[in-house]
Amino acid sequence: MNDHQQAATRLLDAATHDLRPDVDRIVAGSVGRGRALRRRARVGTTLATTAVIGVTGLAASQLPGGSDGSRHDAAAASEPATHGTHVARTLASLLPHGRVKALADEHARGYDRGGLLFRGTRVYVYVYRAESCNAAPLLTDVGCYDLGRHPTRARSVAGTETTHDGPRPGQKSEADFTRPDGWRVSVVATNDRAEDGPVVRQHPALSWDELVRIARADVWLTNR
Amino acid sequence: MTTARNLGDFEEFARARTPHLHRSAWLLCGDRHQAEDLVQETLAKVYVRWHRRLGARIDNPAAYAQTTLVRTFLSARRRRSSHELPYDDVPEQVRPDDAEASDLRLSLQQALAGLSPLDRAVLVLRYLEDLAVAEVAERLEVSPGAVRNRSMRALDRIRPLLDPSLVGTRKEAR
Repeated sequence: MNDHQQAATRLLDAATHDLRPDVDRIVAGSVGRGRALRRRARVGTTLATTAVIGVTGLAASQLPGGSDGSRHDAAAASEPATHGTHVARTLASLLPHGRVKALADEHARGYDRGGLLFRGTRVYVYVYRAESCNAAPLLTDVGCYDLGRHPTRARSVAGTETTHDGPRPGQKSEADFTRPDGWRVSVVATNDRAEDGPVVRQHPALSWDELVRIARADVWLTNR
Repeated sequence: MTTARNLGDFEEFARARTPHLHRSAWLLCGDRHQAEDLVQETLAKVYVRWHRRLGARIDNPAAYAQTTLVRTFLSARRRRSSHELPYDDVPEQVRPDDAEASDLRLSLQQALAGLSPLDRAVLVLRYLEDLAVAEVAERLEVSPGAVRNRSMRALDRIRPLLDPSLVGTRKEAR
């Protein structure tokens, strides 16, 4: 190394040596996010074995006020629909006109998810508490909330990432809405039929605006 | 299955490496909070690999984490399609680094602001991590020539800060 390069090393070292990150918070958050990543990988496997049924049957069997409505007591009425089947049902009610089939639901500790095939591609929703780092959204732009440090603000974020390249690149769009009461809804749309399945559209079937509209729907809080 | 011992080992590793990773992350992001988020995401990816049941163990976890950090940063910066839609309230703003940030850090922040993400990554790996050109090239999957060019560009950017007396003063303050 020449003198300039050595001076550069000293400069970077001097500028950063006294930074004091919150190690406890970072480590705890990384464990939570790591667990979520592992869990989501398993969810993908589950989705690959989807049970396909008609949306009519789904709606008919699981409409609000149906046979399972009595299971929910009054105390829970103020919380969003977080069980997978309810999530899928709610999602079906919010989608624009189009062909819909059901996907397998996932109900795990820390978050709940419901999915559908919409116009031949996957759309699914996560509902969870904002402070739950175990359920960090897919897009890295959307951070993990720590309610102990940051007040929860209502905000929505949308984005698209390319999941794999090729003649027909895989795409995954997501909208995430954080509610002032600390509940969070993430809506994901892909352009494939299944995890590791064929890409069937150039883009996901829902635009960012449509995803945000679904994520911000009040029905997530009331449809139990 | 994630054993308690595995988790303990990972947490021990994460605690030990976080300060170092955070220094690199700060130089990449130019902001303390974004840097903390980048480190957290990086360690989450390391966690997944750490607890993978199949496949080889990580030979050099420190190097693996450092490479993951840089690649995660570059990947996030490439994803320009994301946008934030404010609702009801002013969107969360990135706070400038806290008041205790040194003049040197602020000057460096400004100098690095005009660099591309890849130039910053080269700067961090080459000069903070003190890696050879060939190793930087391998980690970033670019040619050695590209690393040299980007190193020179990054050095030009921070050259005004390379005043030996300034650097010397900061070193004495440690």
